Amino acid sequence: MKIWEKLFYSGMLVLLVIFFFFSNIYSINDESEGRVYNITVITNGSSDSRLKNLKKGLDYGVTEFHVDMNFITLYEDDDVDHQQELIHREIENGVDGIILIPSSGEGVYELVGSLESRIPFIFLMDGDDGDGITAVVAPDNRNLGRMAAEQIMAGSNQEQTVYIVTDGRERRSIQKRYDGLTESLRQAGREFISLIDDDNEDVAKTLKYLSSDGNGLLVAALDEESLIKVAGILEQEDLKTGVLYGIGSNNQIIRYIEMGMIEGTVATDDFAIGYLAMEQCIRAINNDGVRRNIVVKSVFTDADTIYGNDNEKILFPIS
Amino acid sequence: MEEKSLRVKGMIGVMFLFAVIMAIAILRKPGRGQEEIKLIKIGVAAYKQDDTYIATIISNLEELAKAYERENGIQVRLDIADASESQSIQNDQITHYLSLNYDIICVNMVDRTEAATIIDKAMDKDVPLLFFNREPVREDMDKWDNIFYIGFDAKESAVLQAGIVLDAYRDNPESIDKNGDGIIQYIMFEGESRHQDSLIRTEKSIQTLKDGGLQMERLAGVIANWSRNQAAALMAGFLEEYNDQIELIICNNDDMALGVIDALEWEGIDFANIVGIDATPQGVEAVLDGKMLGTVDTNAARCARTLFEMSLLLVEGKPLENDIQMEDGKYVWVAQSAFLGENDGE
Repeated sequence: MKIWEKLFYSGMLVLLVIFFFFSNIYSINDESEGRVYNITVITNGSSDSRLKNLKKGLDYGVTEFHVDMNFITLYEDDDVDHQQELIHREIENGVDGIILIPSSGEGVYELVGSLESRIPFIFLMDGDDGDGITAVVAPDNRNLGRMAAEQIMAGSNQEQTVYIVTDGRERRSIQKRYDGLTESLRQAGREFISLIDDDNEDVAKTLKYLSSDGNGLLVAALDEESLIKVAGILEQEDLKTGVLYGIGSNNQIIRYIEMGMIEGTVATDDFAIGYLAMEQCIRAINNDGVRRNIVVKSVFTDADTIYGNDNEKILFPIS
Repeated sequence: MEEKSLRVKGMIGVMFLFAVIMAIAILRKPGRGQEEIKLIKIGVAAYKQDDTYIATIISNLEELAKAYERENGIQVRLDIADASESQSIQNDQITHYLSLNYDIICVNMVDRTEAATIIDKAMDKDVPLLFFNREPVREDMDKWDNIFYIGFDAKESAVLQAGIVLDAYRDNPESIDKNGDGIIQYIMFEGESRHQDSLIRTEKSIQTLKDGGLQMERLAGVIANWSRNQAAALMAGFLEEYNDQIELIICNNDDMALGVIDALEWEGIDFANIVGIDATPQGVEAVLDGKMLGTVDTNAARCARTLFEMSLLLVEGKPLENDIQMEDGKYVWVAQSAFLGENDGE
């Protein structure tokens, strides 16, 4: 072999090596930030509008842990079948973990308990320790009810009846809030009546009727949707004697507090719930010491304390 | 001689083999045109998700994605990122989408003059960008063929907004010129100074009112940054200063108009000579409740549909021109109309 032939073949070999080197560098650059975790978040509602602070917390975790998050809302609110279908689909898609706000009823708990797949399941907002559940990140819902009761009792007369509005108590979290609230009211000898908000018009009519005796209406709403609905009813029907307390927070609730339509609300640290759920999911994927039950902080806020230091951090988290 | 010929042929063979290896390596990078699409990943980077108009576009997008998924069995992953008015946060969010191989990124810029960085990154990854509502500067838009803008013509919005006032005045001059001095005393609420539409909406609406024969006197003008809360706080101050003099309040968007209404309601003042732009659900409700004279429907639903349709076409590798009417091959202007509630002639 002549020298120029040797040079030619050596040159080709060097070119080939250089080509594959750069080709690999290109591939490495694609995943330069290390492992990407595929985590799916499945909510129990058809919209994420009431989950903004939770989503901010999740997003914070996404950036910190380099997660490819699939945030899914349901076709219809509280659609258990759709939620179950999504769990199956996401497992088939090979996700590394699922973060879930369970729909009403027992269906999702049973499904997660029966799954053969051993991916982590982190339950949010609403949940108990159970089969297949890796961790629960939620407020102490029973205590939320107690906190609301304390404020109601401090701000009203002993004789006033407390009307409790919920969108039904099928959700475990709402039942616990109800239990906490009524337990405290009972202990204080206060009278209360439950109104189920499954028909907006009926609740509106009932509240209007109840306020007609002029004694003033005292209402406790145990979830965001009911709280906003009742505040809207008080505003539209001009029931200015109504005093409304609630559980939950979002921009609309804060606006109603500022307008004086809501006296005060017990707010949960949704940002922390989102972030901690993502952190626990990553820990579970890496078998790195998961905390099975995390209880997040809650605060009572009214018009005077919305912009207080602690409350402001919870109500308006910076992403 | 024969041996030399064989050697040359051998070298040509090696070069050919090398070329084939290179071609295979390049072509093995997946192209979505040929493969069966099972998942479409669309990232939406919003300047601020609390902005009611942007929130309306996003909720429409979410509905469209769900409907498409149901009808076609193709999973659509629509991820929404809220930049909370920080361009650096938005840049990070877009980098994140690009690192996760999103197919399309819809961008509602925080700062419309800062698009170059985002465009460069997207070009590197060959991911099309659909800008919406906040238009990048022309120099940036011209950087690449695969970037588009979907929005509405700010001048047209302003002309329609002024038209609402002119029609009301022509129907009943006293309803607008309450003190009968032949001059309309007004307050103007403007959006962010860095948004391309703020100045245009402000100037063009007043110019149209003047061209329509009205004499205008500006009592006050203020930047409330599209924000309901800011507008409410500022309006409370104006009520102390100008309460009896105000005949008309012009707002660059509905959120600020709603803030004005909030302030009026706090003071128990019955005044509805307020016009907005956007026709957000809350704005429409205010018009229907008689709290506002009218608004301009900038068609958030149409904007969302266009974004979604363009995303699908780009993912499928189909040409946009056949289905989407564009100006200069990259601008899509969404049609608008005046909304007057029950009095709406349309």
